[in-house]
Amino acid sequence: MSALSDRLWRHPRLLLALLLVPPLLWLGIIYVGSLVALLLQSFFSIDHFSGMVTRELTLATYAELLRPANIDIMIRTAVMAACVTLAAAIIAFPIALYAARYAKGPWRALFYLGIMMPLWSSYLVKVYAWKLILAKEGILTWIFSGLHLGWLLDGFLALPVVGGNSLSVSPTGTFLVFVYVWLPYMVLPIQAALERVPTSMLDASGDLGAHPAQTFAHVLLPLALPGVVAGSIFTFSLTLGDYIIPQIIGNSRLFIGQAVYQFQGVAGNIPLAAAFAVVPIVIMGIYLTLAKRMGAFDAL
Amino acid sequence: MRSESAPRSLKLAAGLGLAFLHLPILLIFVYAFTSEEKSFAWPPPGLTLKWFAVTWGRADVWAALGLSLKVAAISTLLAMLLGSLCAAAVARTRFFGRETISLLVILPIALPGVVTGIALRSAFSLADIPFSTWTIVLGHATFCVVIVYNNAVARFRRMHGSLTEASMDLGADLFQTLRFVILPNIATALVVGGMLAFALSFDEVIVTTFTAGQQQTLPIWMLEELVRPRERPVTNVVAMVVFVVTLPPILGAWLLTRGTDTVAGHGK
Amino acid sequence: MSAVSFASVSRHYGAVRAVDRVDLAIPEGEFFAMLGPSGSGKTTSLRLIAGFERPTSGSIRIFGEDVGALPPYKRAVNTVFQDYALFPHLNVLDNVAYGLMIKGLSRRARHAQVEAALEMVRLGGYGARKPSELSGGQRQRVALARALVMKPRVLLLDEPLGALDLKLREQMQEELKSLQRELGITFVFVTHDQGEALSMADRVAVFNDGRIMQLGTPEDVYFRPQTPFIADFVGSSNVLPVEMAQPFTGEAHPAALRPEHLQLGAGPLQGNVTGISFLGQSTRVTLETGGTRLTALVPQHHPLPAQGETVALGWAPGALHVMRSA
Repeated sequence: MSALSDRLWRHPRLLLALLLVPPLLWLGIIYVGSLVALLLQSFFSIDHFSGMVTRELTLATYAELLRPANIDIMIRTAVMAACVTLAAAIIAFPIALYAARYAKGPWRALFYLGIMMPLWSSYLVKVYAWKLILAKEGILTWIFSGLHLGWLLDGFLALPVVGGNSLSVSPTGTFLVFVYVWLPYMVLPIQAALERVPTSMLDASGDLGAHPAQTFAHVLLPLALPGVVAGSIFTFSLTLGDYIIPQIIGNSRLFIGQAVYQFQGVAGNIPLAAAFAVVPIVIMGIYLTLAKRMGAFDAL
Repeated sequence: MRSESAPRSLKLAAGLGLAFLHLPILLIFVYAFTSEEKSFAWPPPGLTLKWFAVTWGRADVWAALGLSLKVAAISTLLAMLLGSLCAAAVARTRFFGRETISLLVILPIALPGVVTGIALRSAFSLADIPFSTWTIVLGHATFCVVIVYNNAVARFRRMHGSLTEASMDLGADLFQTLRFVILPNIATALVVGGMLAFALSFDEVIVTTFTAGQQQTLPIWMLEELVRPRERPVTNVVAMVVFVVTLPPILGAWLLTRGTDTVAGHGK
Repeated sequence: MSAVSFASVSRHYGAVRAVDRVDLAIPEGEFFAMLGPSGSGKTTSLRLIAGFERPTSGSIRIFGEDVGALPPYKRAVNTVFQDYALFPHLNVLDNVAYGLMIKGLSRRARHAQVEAALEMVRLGGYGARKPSELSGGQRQRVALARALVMKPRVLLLDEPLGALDLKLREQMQEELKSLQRELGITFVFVTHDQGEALSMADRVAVFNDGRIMQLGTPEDVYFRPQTPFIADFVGSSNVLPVEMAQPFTGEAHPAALRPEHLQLGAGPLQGNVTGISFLGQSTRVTLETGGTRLTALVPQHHPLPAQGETVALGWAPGALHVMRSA
């Protein structure tokens, strides 16, 4: 043991290698290897008669990917991700602001726990809870009719695009659940960014004659922006890749995640599924590059 | 610390936001006791404990729970090992490619779960690996590494670099230093990382659907019930159980990090 | 035999030469100070002795033994760290007992020695406290006790007083000096504070750019600086450039002149007063003459010039020190 210790002291690179080799082998072989396999698969094609994958490099699958029906899926998913991100940012900001700057003592702990618990508690259970809430016979309908506002809900559901048979099969339902499930991911980075703003800076702004609203607009908001961008990385990425929420709560129109799932599962078309999976990677690549320019990574 | 209190509108918005986060979960607890069998009717027509007994007798639920616990335990151990090794290397030394390694560790959760899932699936299919408990573990450990890594790296950074030097200066070799100085100092971070990794793995469904084959973890079982409901009241009970099982590790992690967080908070 | 000796020791980081061909011999029982600005190589030299760094070339001997291949845990030296490096998870007693525990001493034997060491640094009865419950000065003493309990043949101190306030620092200087005399072990002390080095050390090595500029007694370094850098860094002497000094010294070298030796009112040079600051016991007058900035310390109750006034400058015979190695 001691001899080995001496040897490692004399060769710090050896020590570093010992530390790094197991995780790098794991992530390098299993994860990066899988991603390469994925990319490779996307350049294979499927023989539509036999249903077998032809292991020859081709762009045919990408040609298939860019058909209008599939483009529709991508646009629908990206628009949903953008809406969810925006809504999450609006709801998250006051929570983060209060937790970061006003909550004290036990309230501070409670707020922190109040954000951490929903973040870590079971995703499926949360989705299930919303299935209960949004069901036609569920609590939301009950509340609306209790308030004699049933007509309002029915009117809303009758609208094109956002409406549907009931909330649980409407795009509005999908949107609500997305916002709910990803909200904590937005709160935490904003809170972290806000906590980093020194109080003296806000005092300075007030001292220089700024109205609280002006301080908010010109000092607090710009300083919190990296946090918002960091949070948006989560909400955007998570929405892009999710296939369970739209499957359980929503209509039959597909999102990217569902398309990936269905092409590989039901259709057995792994190449097309792989090509579809490349889409969120590309979108997130562009998004991350932009976010990095805005300094979002410091707030993670 | 600011002495003034928050504007009323902010209090209201923050309170509503928190309520939005928590009320839906409360609903799960009510539905677990409902006597309604066929629909999600609200308010529940009656309350009963019957479905707890029915669920208790269901072999498929027990099997799924068992698999979930097993997968989460193995994945957590693997993630703790790999995550802390990686954190030690990245936090203690400067070397070429350090940033790349951080990125590599974060990638499995930075990319959408469906990408990780389909990537693993296509790798298994290319390499002709049959699905098993181990293919599930492979996926889970991969995205759990980052949880342990993040916690450990933060702790390593807070730990004074000279502590290990002081230990060696006082006669301890590398292994004694690891045992008597490094491990005691990062222990809570590792435990916290492990607890959160456990909660994450226990709950994971997106990647698992691609790596599980015919086996059912508890979340996969629930997903099946959501898509093709058989006995809704049993699902209600399972939902509550899943929530309750993930609660202790989350609370534990919070309790263990609480002290450090308040200290950091006071510094601001 | 020297306690510590360097033979042409270098430590490079890429293109940076942190320590550059240093030769050094520290006799046993000496209180030796390494003085220099940050980045001068003094701390790296100390870390080379401790074994936290390995020399790029050259050899280091501790009591004659080449330690090039010895890890820190096999060297008969112990270190007091700049940030104290107390183990936060252990109480004071276990911190001080750490090295003895590694050595394999029984709990009882450890405790007896630890108690004695804590008494020595006047922290008897503090064993159960956590480092976080101690003041800066107390932590410093614990760090000292933790190193001394190992009975090192050489004690290395890396800016140990840097984090203390002025009063405590002066008190600790006294204590360290008497402790060193009492124990008779070699102290190697790194500091950037020339006052500290001059008041405590038997000999001082002044570092700059990875090399030793001058090595000598505090008096040597203070009164007879060998280069303008030392004249300026150790004791803020005035440096007269060659063309200004040569008429008086007759040698083609710059000369050093201590501020307290520069007299105002009569003399061969003319200076323009650019600043006056009251220091208490004396007043500092800064002057400008022929492009050179000079400082004079005028004792209490002596007449002071006015800002902007031109005054004659002089010095007592022998006050001008020629720096021949510059």
